[in-house]
Amino acid sequence: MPRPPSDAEFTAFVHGTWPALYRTAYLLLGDRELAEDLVQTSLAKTYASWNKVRDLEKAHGYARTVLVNTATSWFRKKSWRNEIATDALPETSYDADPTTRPLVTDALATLAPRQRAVIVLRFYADLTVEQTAAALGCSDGTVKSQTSDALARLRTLLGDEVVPLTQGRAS
Amino acid sequence: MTERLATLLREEAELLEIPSPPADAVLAQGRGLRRRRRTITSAAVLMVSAAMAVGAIGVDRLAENRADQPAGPAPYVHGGAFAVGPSVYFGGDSNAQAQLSERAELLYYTSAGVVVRTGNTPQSTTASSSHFILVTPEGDQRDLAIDLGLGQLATDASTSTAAYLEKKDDTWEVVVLDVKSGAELARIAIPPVTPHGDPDRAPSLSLSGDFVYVSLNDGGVEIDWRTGELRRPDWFMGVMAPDVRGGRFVDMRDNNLGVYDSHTGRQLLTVSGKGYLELSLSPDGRFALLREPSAAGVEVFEVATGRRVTVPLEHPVDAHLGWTPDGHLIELSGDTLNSCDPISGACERSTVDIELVPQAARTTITQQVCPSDSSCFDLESVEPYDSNRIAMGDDLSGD
Repeated sequence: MPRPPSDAEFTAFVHGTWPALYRTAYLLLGDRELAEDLVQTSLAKTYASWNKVRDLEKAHGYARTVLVNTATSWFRKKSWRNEIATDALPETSYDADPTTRPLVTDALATLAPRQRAVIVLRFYADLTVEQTAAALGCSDGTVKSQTSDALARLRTLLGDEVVPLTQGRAS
Repeated sequence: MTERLATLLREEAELLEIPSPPADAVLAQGRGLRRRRRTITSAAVLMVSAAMAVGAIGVDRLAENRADQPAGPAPYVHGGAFAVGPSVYFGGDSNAQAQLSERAELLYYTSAGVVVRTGNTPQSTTASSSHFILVTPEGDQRDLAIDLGLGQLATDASTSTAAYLEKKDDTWEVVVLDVKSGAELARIAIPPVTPHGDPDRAPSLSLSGDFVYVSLNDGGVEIDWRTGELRRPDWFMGVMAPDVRGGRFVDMRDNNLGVYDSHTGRQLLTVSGKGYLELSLSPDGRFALLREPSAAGVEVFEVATGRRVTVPLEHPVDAHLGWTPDGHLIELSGDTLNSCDPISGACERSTVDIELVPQAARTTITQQVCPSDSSCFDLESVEPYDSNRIAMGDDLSGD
């Protein structure tokens, strides 16, 4: 049985890993309070499952996996309370001027939760289609179709420069 | 081709204002979770010791207690069912009613008893077999002899029917069977599924009385399985995989969660709140459970009247929580079963004599992890298989 971390060791780990996990959580959920809840829950689960983690050096990767799994379990619930602002951005009004273009994070907020998760996992967390499907508990085909739909939506908001048209058929 | 999108995502993520980490709260929550897991583990050790010491007496006691059990379905309808590992329990009674050969994964209510799924579930990440066993409130078992792999089974707690999808050539067919007799009652082909989905993965479905609801990529179809009539309700267009219960389903419209009638699409109840909310219908559709991860309790609405009560669960956020067929909430915490009335909100506790099995040998697996903010490394972990995993009837648990 691996030695559990001391409070000081785990506290140092929490401080070190919090920023990266928070960024991922925020991109997944689009809400600061929910992102904090998600990271806190994921780190608490990591602490409670220390026999699977085994050492602090590998704990970040484990916590990140737990974070994605926990977020996914939230998505899988019978209902997911999407955040407001789904209509905050116009449908097709991206500006070629990058200084006035909407932020990608704002555009993400217009996507359905599972579509946003697919985009974040694939293009921020660098997961493959297969890894994303495994993380979200759906088929590869669903990931591809969700990716395609989400990129089409992002393209209308951010423009071809950010999301080239050839990317419409996700692979 | 999405490098620009990925770069912008990373740049904007870097600009986020990061709140201070609540390290003390994380530690406190982590200790709480660990205590919960230890409760079960400790009980396992005690049970094994006790079984070795008084094995022969245990057999006699079990026989005595079985004779005292109330017959008929009333305890099942009011008390529901849950499983710990391969042991299935009914109605808060402390005796195991059925021992299966495999760990129970999911429990589906029917009027004939609970259908227990073992093996794969729709959330499994590998394609393997799944098995379904009807366990009656009397403890009898009947293998339904179907293997759905990752596919869904849908049941209705008020009937003895179950529905699933089976692929024949290139067409999905809805199959309705009577779990009591095993007889196939209906087999109806559904319209072609649009090409986006995995061709071998069945669409999601639910069953409510005489109607099966199948989600397609462009809305869904309502099938009267007795007549074979298919309908494309307008309300189905914007709803993702509705779980229809007692002719009702949950949906979010105009940023409010609500309960809707599946035949008319009419709104029956709406709830509002802040942040992440979860609304779940009881098996008969009469009650709706509202949960927020940060709330101290949960609320149950009576759909017909809108009346709400707060239910004092032991662990409102991460409970092992399920419904009973008649809409009571049941929560298993250690060896305590908390059963709560959906109208009064009153809860009754009882102690459950849980029978645990030895943990199966665990294997260490190595997985390559590639965080976006550091280089890849191998993560060694123990296969997270718990031989005594808890599955509640109509499970509402978060994990």
